[in-house]
Amino acid sequence: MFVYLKKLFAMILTVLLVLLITFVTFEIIPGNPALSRLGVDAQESQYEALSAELGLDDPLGIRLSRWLKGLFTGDLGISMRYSVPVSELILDRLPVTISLAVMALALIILIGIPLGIVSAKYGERLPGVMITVISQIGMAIPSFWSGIILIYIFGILLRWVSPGGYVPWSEDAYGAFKSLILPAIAIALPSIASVIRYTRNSVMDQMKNDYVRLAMSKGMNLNSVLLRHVLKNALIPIITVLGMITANILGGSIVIEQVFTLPGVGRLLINAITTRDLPLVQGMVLYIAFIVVIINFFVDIIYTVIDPRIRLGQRD
Amino acid sequence: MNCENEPLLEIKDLKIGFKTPEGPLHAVKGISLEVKKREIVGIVGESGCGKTVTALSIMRLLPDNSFATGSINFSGIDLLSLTEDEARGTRGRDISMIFQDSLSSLNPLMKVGRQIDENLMMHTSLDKAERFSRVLEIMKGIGLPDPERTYGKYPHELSGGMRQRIAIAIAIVCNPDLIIADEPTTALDVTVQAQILELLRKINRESNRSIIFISHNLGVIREICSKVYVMYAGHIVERASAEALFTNPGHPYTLGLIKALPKLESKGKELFDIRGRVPSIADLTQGCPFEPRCDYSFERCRKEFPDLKKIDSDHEVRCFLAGGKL
Amino acid sequence: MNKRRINLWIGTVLISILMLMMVVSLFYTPFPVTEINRLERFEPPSARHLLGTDNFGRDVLSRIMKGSQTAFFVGLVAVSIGSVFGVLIGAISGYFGGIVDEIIMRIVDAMMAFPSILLALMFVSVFGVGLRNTIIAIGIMSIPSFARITRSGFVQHKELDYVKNAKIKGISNLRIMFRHILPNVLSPIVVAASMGFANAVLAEAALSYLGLGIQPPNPSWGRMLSESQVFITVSPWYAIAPGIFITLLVLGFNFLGDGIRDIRENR
Repeated sequence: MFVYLKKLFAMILTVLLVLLITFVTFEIIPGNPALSRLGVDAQESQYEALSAELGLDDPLGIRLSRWLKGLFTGDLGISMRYSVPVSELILDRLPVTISLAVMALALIILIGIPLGIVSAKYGERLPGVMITVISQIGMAIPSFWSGIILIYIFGILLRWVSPGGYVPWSEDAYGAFKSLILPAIAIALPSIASVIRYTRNSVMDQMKNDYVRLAMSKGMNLNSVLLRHVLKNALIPIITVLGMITANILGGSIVIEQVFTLPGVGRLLINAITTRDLPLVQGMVLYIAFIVVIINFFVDIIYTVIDPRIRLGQRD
Repeated sequence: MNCENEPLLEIKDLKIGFKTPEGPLHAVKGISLEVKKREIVGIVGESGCGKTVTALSIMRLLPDNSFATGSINFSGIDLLSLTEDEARGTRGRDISMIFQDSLSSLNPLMKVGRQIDENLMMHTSLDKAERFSRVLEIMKGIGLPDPERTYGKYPHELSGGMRQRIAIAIAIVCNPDLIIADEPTTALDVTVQAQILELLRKINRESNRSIIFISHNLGVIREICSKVYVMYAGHIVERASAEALFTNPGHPYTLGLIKALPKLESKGKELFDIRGRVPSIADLTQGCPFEPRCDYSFERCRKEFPDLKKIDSDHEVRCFLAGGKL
Repeated sequence: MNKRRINLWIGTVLISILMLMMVVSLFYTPFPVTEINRLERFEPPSARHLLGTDNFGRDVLSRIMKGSQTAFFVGLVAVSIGSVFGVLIGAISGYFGGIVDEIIMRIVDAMMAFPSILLALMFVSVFGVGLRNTIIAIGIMSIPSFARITRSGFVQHKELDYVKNAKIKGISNLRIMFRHILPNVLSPIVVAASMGFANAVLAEAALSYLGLGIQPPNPSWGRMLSESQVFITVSPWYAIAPGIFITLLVLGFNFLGDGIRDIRENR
């Protein structure tokens, strides 16, 4: 019980840290937002009026508390470019990004882990080495390039999917799937390679253990031993990597959405940066940050729950 | 030929080596031994002498880079000549093994009852309920209190002694003819050690199973074994009944092991230690492998390798001094 | 014997080839990089233009060669920034421990939990785009992993006898940290540097692809990819070539890092 409280406390601390850094980055450093909004040629009076309206003249403490209060009520400010609440813009584009993330995660787990196990089973022999080399290459390929190549091969040459555009789930599920599968693959590729590597190492580590020998002495064949005994033990350290994988997927989606021109949160972020729409950028950074923190927190909790040695406490 | 006296396991001139990038390493350099039905045979030696490797080779559980020659005859079949699948068929069902460290040899994430049950599942056609009652029966039989509750525990929740009992349960549940116990009591307290030894004795008595008991501790071997093989640097250097080994040790190494046993009378005095170290697996010598550490060695020992010489009925020694009094 | 060093060999070979290309490009490229030739647009690879031409008729190979300069430069400086600051922070954190260590590690962990590209984007969005800011952004992005590795090394070593001996002799903490402990902890840091270089190349490529990294006229493989994407139906090789070179360079440093790690483990 105490362990969980400690973790919760740590998470809150991290959240506060993130808030602080974001506030400093976006409220303090850029100088005066009113100036950048109106441009250098604005009239002194216009500038003053806008400053007053935005509350920029208030002392730092008040600005900080106002900002925090806004966060808790879900008000992330108003986009300068679209003149629409940031939270609205984000929610609008959330479905796309979440669909991508879920599909990518499914690919990573369903392809990465089995291949990692196979690679470990064959160890230093040819299939094992081959998989390792392929995953090395997979980690080196820039995801946006694989996206481009995928579009070229499947969208243009083979014409299996249309090269661009997004179809909402509500309209046409199959169409939506087709428009999302290629970007999901592009996002997943480097993480699949990572997971293969981690799984391989974890399984190979487990196979050095005595309980594997005991299982074999019972007369089990290698495959059964791998699946029934080793897998569970090997997966535990891999769960800790889940947090990193989520970060990779989120980061990947920022770039990939641009490649495939999908109306997701990532692309919104890029547009915001390009147009220097700081409230929008800030809002999205916060949103992504929270997701990361919360997922890491849950991964932490899951980790302690799954391992009975931690859950029930060590005896000796 | 009297079937009763036909050996259950007969190893003839077994040599085991490993292929490494630096060349082949020879762990076992030609040993022969015999286990009769209902016998408890001990193999004693310090770590590195090849006893564990021998045990693993009987189970055909050696790593891929190993090679073995000779024959391991089990109930008429040469285990070394079997294919992997055929060899697998003997494991758990005809021959089973108990490992030294019960904490690492049990799956930490699986309930102990299930680990026993798994064996039944593989080798019998009993249904779930039948298996469950059989597992509880075994658990009771080996002295586990409250089997029903213990069934659902994880290995780390049990004491060392209880865990080793679980390991024993796993080994006997399918009624194998031969159990190989590799240092089963080494990691346990002395009092628990005695309990486990008594358990093994009981199993041997009541179900006529043969046991190969491997240890570096001659005192424990004496407690439980009827016949003992002493191994050193991949060779058998002495074979005798447990009695004869202690009353009339033939090999200087055996003598050293006996002297090294802590006795009540020697309380307060320094423990005897055989000088020198066990040769590494890569050391090759022409003469007797024990010569560098032997207090009785002479010129011949350095140059020639001694054969096994019979000094009594059922007592053989690999030493040029065999037959003389040490 | 060479089987164990194969990672090292592959990495070194790959990097050497690309570095050679980079050095050559400082003095010579088959065609001037900025020469626009309307008549030779979108030519497929030929004897004259080994990798074809782009939408402006510029020789792709020459542009790739020039782009390698940026890749190596950004990688080198960014990793330098990351390693210097990261090692410093990690050393202080690991050696002195206590509340300073707790705070620093919290911040480092928070940074590592983020998608790294996001950190770089945050920096660029506030301070602007361009070569200098790209390098700084990626440098900052690299700090956490160096900090962590250095810290764990220092935590391990500060309990060892030779450190205690040095303290008894009265040697100053600073000297102990950097003259005594650091050389022993160098090996994993070098591995991290190699991997960091690979990550830096990928990060620069991504940022430039998004238009938020290296700006024209500085050449960048990432930006070449974004330019080429529009024309992929007409000249696919223009889109393929930069990607291949990015992959090769990243592979090179990944193999190198693995190779160094292998050597260390086999000792």
